[in-house]
Amino acid sequence: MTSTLLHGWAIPVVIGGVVVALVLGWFARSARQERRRVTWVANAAYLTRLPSFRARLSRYRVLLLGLAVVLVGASVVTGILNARPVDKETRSEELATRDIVLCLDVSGSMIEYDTEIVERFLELLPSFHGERIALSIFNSTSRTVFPLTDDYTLVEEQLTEAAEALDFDVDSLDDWSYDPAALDRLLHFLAGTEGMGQDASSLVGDGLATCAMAFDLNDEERSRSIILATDNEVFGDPLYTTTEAAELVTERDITLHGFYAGEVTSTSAAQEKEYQDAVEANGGLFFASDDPEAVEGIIDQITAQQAVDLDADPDVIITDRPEEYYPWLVVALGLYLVAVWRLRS
Amino acid sequence: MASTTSRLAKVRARLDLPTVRRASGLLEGRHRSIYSGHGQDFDEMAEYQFGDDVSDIDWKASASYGLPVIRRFVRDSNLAMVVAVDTGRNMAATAPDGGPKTEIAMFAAEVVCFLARSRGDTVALVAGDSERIVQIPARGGTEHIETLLRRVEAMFELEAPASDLNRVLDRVLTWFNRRSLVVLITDEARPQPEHELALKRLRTRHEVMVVQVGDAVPTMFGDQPIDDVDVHLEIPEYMRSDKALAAEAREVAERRREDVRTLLRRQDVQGVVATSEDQLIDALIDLLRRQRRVRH
Repeated sequence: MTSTLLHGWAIPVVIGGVVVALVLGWFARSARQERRRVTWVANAAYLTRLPSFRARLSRYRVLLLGLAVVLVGASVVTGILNARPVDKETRSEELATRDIVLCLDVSGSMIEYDTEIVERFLELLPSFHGERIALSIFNSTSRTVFPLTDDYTLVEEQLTEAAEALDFDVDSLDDWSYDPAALDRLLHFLAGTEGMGQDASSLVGDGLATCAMAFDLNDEERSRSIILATDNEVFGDPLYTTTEAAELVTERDITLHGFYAGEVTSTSAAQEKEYQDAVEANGGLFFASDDPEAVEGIIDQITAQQAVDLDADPDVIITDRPEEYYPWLVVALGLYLVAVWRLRS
Repeated sequence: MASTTSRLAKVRARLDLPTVRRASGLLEGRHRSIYSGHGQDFDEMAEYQFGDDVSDIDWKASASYGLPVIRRFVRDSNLAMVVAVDTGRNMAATAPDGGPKTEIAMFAAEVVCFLARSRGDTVALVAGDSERIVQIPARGGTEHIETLLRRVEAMFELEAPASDLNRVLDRVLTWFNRRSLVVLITDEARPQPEHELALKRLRTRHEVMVVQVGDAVPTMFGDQPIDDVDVHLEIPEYMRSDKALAAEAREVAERRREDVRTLLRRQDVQGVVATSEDQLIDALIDLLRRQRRVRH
């Protein structure tokens, strides 16, 4: 969003016009002065030497100077207003129909990536106009942090809170060097994601299925997508397998984008494969990275892909912003009228 | 000529008979005073008035009358009167009554000429400014006076050259050897100190009366644009109709009038300021009443 003048050339044009009008007025005035009848008096030369005449003359000059300043100011403001001060914004109406559910696996190994995703969305938030966003976290059970909403104040508040809570070094648990307050914050945030038995963890299918249920407004034509971040390392007995959940997502006409960041274990290759297949089978983008820094680029790629999919031409939206200058014009004109009135009486 | 008669007739119409009588009587006294020494034929006794020569007082008569009484004498012959007119462009400006100063000046000349004619005096004219000088020798008669007046009237105009009183005074001085009554018609700012010497010289040879035509105070015109005939005044609208300025201007004008009065008094010259035609008659009569004998 940039503030700019749509017709910058209008400022010199208006000022030039004012100057031309002044010059014409000057000539018209001298012509009129020649024509008009003055009353002739004699022996009145002393008038201009009177102290009160001089005092009034200097006051007159000050008023004239003020008048000139006000006139220049009013001309400049008029020029600016004629130049159309606008806020230019490149926005895609299609992208604004997006519903995005962030579906984050909050098992220990993923927390770092979750933080990056949340922070990236925090950064993207100001560019959202109508996009709706939801945050759902899961481990063995799901918790909806906030449902789909375009209440960006709430979103920002919640995402900030989430980013702060998730910004926790899990490794510090091992050597007891963690900050208890940070741990409390994390545990508070994660509350409700670990139920249904102690041995279950990362029930990705269930989590994804919950996210698929998060969409509403089914009768409206909106772009629906889930950004899923998980290591797909399932412990326990899920109701949905990852593949089944992905099918459910597809059924509901939702695009699934996957982000994989698993540790290399004996089973990790199979887990990654299952995950990748589930995502790509439904036309989503799949990313695998063990570098949390890559998240930013990945989300941008997802956004760019969505723009292509939605055939979103970026529209330049121009909003007139004269309100900043109008008061100045009013003030300048008011001062001008007062000064002219004083000069005339 | 029809217009010739009308000019003096107009004056007569303006002056009611008692006024004329009074005025011409006063003028007569004035004339008499021009002689060095007194007339031979005793005319009348009159109450002493301020300005009369103290040596004219008839002490015996005064003692019996109870008030100072002077003796008046019949004049011996016709007298010469010189009308000296300042015809600078300042005389075409605006008078205090809003009309042109020219009208008041002309009226003053007409009244003086009328009174002279009604007595059968001769009238001469010296009119001039910094570039022109017109002189018409002393002669009597209505026709002559009318010509003279028309000549003066033609010279009064806004496009006229600037005033130069010294030229007029010097010309009167060099041109008239015979003792005369010089009536100088100028405006309220004159004679100025630079004219004092010429006035003083003139005063040694002639009796001098000054009729000063008043000037409009430049601040009395409100929002109307004004300009000075001699110096261009750039007065923006904002400067007009300012009460403080008007008061100050009035004060300065009054001070200047007082300065001229002082100068005239110093030279023992009677002067009168005429601010309108109506006031002029009274002022002239007052002026004539203040007559004095010439110092010898």
